[in-house]
Amino acid sequence: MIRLVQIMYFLKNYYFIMLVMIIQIKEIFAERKKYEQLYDDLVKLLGIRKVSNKLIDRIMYSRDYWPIALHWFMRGVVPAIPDIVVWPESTEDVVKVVKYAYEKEIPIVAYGGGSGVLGGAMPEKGGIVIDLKRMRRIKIYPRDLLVEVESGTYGMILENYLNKHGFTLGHIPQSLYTSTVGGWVSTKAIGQFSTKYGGIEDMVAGIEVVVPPGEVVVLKPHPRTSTGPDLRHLFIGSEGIFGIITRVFLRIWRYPEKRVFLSYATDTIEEALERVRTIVQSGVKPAVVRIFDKIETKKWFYWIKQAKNKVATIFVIEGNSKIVDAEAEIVKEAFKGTIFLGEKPVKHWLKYRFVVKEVSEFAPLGFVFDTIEVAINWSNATKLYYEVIKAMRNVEGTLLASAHASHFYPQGVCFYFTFGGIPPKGMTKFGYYAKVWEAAMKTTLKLGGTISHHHGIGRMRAPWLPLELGKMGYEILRKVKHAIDEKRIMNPGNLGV
Amino acid sequence: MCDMGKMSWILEAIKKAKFKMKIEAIIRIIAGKIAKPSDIIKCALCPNMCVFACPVGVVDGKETTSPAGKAKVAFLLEKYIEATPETIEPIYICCACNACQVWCPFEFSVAEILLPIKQRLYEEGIYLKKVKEIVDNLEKYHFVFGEPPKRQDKEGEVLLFRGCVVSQYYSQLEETAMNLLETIGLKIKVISDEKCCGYPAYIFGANSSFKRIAKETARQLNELDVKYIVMLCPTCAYTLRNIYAKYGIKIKHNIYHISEVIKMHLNKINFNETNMEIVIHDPCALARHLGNSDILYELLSKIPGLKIKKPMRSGKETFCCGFGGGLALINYGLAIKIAKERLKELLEEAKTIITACPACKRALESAGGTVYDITEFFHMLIKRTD
Ligand SMILES: Cc1cc2nc3c(=O)[nH]c(=O)nc-3n(C[C@H](O)[C@H](O)[C@H](O)COP(=O)(O)OP(=O)(O)OC[C@H]3O[C@@H](n4cnc5c(N)ncnc54)[C@H](O)[C@@H]3O)c2cc1C
Ligand code: SF4
Ligand code: SF4
Repeated sequence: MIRLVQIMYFLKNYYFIMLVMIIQIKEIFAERKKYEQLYDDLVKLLGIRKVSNKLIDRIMYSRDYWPIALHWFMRGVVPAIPDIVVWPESTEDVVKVVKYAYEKEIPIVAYGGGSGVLGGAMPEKGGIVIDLKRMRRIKIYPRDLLVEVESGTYGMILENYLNKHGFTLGHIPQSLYTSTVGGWVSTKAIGQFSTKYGGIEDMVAGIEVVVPPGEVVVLKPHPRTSTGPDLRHLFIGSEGIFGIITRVFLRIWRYPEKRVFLSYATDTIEEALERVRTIVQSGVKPAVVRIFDKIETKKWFYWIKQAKNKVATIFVIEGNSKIVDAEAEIVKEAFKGTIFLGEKPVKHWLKYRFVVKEVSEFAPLGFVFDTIEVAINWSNATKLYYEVIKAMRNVEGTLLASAHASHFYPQGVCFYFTFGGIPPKGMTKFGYYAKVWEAAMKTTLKLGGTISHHHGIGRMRAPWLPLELGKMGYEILRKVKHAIDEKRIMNPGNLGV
Repeated sequence: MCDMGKMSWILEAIKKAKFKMKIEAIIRIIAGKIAKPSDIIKCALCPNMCVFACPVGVVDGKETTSPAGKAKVAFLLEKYIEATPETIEPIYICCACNACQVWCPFEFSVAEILLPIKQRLYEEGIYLKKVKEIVDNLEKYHFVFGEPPKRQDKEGEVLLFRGCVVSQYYSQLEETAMNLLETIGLKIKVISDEKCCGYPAYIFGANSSFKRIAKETARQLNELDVKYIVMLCPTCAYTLRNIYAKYGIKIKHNIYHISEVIKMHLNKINFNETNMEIVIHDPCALARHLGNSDILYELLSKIPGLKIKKPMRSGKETFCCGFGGGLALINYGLAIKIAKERLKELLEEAKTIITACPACKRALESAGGTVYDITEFFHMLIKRTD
């Protein structure tokens, strides 16, 4: 039965993808549909500065950073097209839009930075795109170590603001410069410093969400609360299918007093994994731990002789100086007998970690790239690494497959795979792309891993969600969705529901 | 570290791929190196890695006018969509502040990479009405705002170049600057028929107009017998010093921004002690375009007792006042919103703002701030011996 559901979702999704691929930008412009009524109504509600039905704006909100959609864009094709775009400036504005959409049964898709990589912010069924980026007020509560922040705030602006006042959120995704707080919460994102600070779910203390038919849910920030099922977690990772997140309270930290950088080279990835396992299971929480496989070690540290043909592991340990010193000792002890590479590789990584160039450089040459992050308990971790790499390599067209492990827990680890290739003759880019994804997803499920560690589900991963959650698990998700959003206007189609 | 070293991981990574695939990949990479994807397509495919620093991206909050958004629009205009006032407008919604360049992995300034398309459109007669009006003003009056107000001539050895904003709005600032510079021993000359540097024509892509205006301005300046030229506006200084050079237009005199001249003569200046608290707003053109990211702090720190604050975004990472790149001429509403955003950030530090650009002063004052140009501030606090 589960298989049948899986196959049906798979087909539905790919049928959809094949359909959307035929929207030519030129045709959209030739047709020039303007949705006058919708426009007039929303202008009446929000004012002219907050609404647009211009074709150029609508095209810009036709996709997020789903890598395959970039190839379509280069060909003058978009996967979807909203009827209208709005830029609310307050929760009240969002309420007005949701009320209106509920009344008229118009789909609404929330849009943050558009850095999501799975087609989650793609207005599959048209309707209203609601871009939250004008909502960006920030307020710090220093005594409570909390920050109240509107959902459209760019990550780097929040972090800079906190740093200026002596704090940090500790949430530093590679997309820090281009993603928003609302996007983080919606996708259940995680940052590079997660082994100490956790994922965004560990930071959300309170949340404000606008749900159909246009009501505001406020879940206040508490140190802990035992008040039935934790509704905050209903919205964390919900990718816009229940409501629009307008404001969150996040737990913050005092800016670290001290930082220590350490790095090592080992012969194999299993050796590095094993040593890091002992570290995190001993209760030590380095902020950053990254194990680069041999290919990625070469990519990052080609200039270090001792790292040649090795697996590099880097650490950033930070916080209270006495704790940092003790943690550094434990890390050094765990990596005794390996090659010590010093501070330089860590500094190099810190300097270049936000340099994102590959897609811009290689996609125009016809290379298809993407990254796939999954997680697994320690027992099967090494096996998962080797098998996913093998499965991706076995897809005809694949040129490279590599990984690093970058988020660690006492129970297991997240692997972040990268693949790149050229579709073989007779196969479309999407055909090749989908095959690699399928290989990685199937292998992960087979070995007992989870299909997503932090990018979420969106549209690309939706076909595998029923298998991940099981029949009843998926059914509960659908029922909850339909109970909150009876008219199915909130990002319809996302997560496959 | 050579490019080959950087790329060696790719060779390692594709080692296990089939021979045919490897060859195809290498051919594509070599072909790509030769054909080079355009800057516009690279930027259009970027996930907007500089957007948090872009005043337009942050305050307008629209994908369409964000840095990568503008590049996407430009890409579509090049290949897929018709250029109309509606489709071209987003590429003009830019402060030309170069904040993007600080964070860009390719070191692109979106304002610069958009210039070729703006130039092509202008040449083809496709432009925003407001752009045309400004360029017409420049062609007709050599002044951005139409007919210029009456200005005085004064003889001296060092030319003080006011710039359009000072001429139009801040004649008092010109007096103050002359006074300050004379106090430190310079003999200042001003000319009544000063001509615009042409920057608005440049940044809006009216290339042939810009060249005409620049040549005319250069001719006028080159005829003057002065030791050097002091500019009140850092954008004018950047234009005369850097943009003219790009077009092969020579100015025979050295060009300085007034802050640079003050720095050269700092040892001649004594200040009265003060207990004021101020915050610095570094102008983009001074901090980034001219590369003087620390000069205001350096100058102000010579004033005894002065409490100097820096905002969250300062120096090379400064945030535009909103009036850069002629944005206030194209979309005043957005420009003033950016000014208010910046003012809010500055006011978190201190009530009094010091800057060194007439356009910044105008923007932040229009948003409700108390703003001194460094010239005015120094003039106020300088200890006079007479
Ligand atoms: C270069 C790059 C690096 C990345 N690095 C990381 C990383 O280190 N860690 C990581 O976790 N992810 C990473 N990502 C993925 C992406 O940045 C995250 O998923 C991020 O959380 C998305 O935020 P956004 O604001 O861009 O959201 P969007 O892409 O705009 O939206 C994502 C989803 O959330 C929904 N949504 C957005 N805002 C709201 C809201 N206010 N209310 C309700 N629903 C909303 C959208 O409808 C969509 O389904 C990276 C992406 C890129 C391109
Ligand atoms: S020049 Fe300034 S306003 Fe223009 S895109 Fe770059 S950062 Fe934004
Ligand atoms: S200017 Fe650079 S960082 Fe900014 S969007 Fe373009 S390529 Fe990306």
